[in-house]
Amino acid sequence: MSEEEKYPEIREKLRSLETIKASGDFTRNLQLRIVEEESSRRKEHVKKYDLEKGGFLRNLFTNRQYPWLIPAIGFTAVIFFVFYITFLSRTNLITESSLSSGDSKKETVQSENGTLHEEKKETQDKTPENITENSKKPDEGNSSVNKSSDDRENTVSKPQTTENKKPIVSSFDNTEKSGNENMKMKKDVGDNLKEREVFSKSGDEKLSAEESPETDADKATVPEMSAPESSKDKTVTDEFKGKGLLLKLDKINKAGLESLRNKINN
Amino acid sequence: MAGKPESDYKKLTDEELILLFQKEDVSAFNELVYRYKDRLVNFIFRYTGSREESEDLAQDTFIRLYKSKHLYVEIAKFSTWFYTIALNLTRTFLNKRSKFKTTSISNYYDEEEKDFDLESGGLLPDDIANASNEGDIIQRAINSLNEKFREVIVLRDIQDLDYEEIAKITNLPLGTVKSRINRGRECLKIMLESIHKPKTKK
Repeated sequence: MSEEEKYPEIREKLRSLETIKASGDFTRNLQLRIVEEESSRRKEHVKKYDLEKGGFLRNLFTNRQYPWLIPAIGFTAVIFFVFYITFLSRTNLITESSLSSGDSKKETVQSENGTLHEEKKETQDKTPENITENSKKPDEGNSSVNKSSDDRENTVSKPQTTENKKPIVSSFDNTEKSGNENMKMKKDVGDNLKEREVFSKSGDEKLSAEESPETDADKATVPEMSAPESSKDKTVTDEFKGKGLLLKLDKINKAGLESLRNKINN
Repeated sequence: MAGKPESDYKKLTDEELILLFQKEDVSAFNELVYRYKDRLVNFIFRYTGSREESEDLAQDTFIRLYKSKHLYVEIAKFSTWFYTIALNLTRTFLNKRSKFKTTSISNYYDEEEKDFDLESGGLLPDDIANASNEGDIIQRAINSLNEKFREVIVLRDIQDLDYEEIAKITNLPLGTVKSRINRGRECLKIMLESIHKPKTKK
């Protein structure tokens, strides 16, 4: 007996059961539900698209598709931070070491020529040119580099004054217009020249001896200043530019003074 | 694609219609709804025993078909695939409903008073009294069947599907399906005889 023939009564009863049909508004309700589903899906899509659009950080912390991004970025940030700190500390060490070495060199040079420098400074401080210079300089005593540059300027300015006599005299003559002012100037210049003569007579011998060690000192200091290792060097070069202008003024004054001296002597 | 007249869609098989629907032909979907809505509502009603729930579940099944039409592969029969969706949805619905259903009142009484336990898998006197005709009695008998037997009985004797298709839908071996159908029928026979016997005695 096959399985189909076992319970024919029950099978007949089950088959004779009334078939339940869907209600009349089944398809309409189904369409409405489908429309709702579509709209909700579109909203979800729009939300997702907005999320994708909304900034890097927002995507990073709200998008859960790539959760590994957060620790990865954190780790890289830490690495960058550590590298930055180490780089900074290294650069600081290098600049400090270079500065300290430069200072030591200068100190050695200064210790060698200490007495000469002091004497020269004394003489320079007494001259009116240096007085004007000192009044113009904002912070002379801060850096030892400035001192060495001043020394160099003084040494360089002397031979140039003799060469630039004629053009500067002409320019000075053009400026001689008012008599009272000229008289005052002459008096002042005369006083200054007298002082200079005294210093030049006593210090000619010393200066000739000073010039050679000063050049050595300049040689020692120049590479430090020109080395482009740190930002401090840049400031030093800027100071040099300012000093260049002062030097030119100094030359002009000296040339004028010497021309006056010649006139008076004549 | 929606340019075909309705008569053309009626000539097409279910598989051809679903393939057309996969190419965004909504008319093919409408034809499938027209073909399967009554069958599906009947199947779910016989399985759950509730008219409203059967309509809702049938609509859920069609919405699932609408959303995941691309998942259908031409290897299987469309009716098998579609009934599988319906059966899974109905199963999950019944599982959810059973969570809220109390099965025993013995938890509220002492061990001695266990006589209050209700027998599972049998028709209640209220069911018989409320049944207006034989159809209702049979439906209540089906509802009182174990879920394992109920689904195969409904698929075989009410939906008239063959054994192999039932085996594919329920994801069971063919022998298991056959044995479950037989045992289900046997249970139904016993239940229906128990109803009719008192009547004949009286």
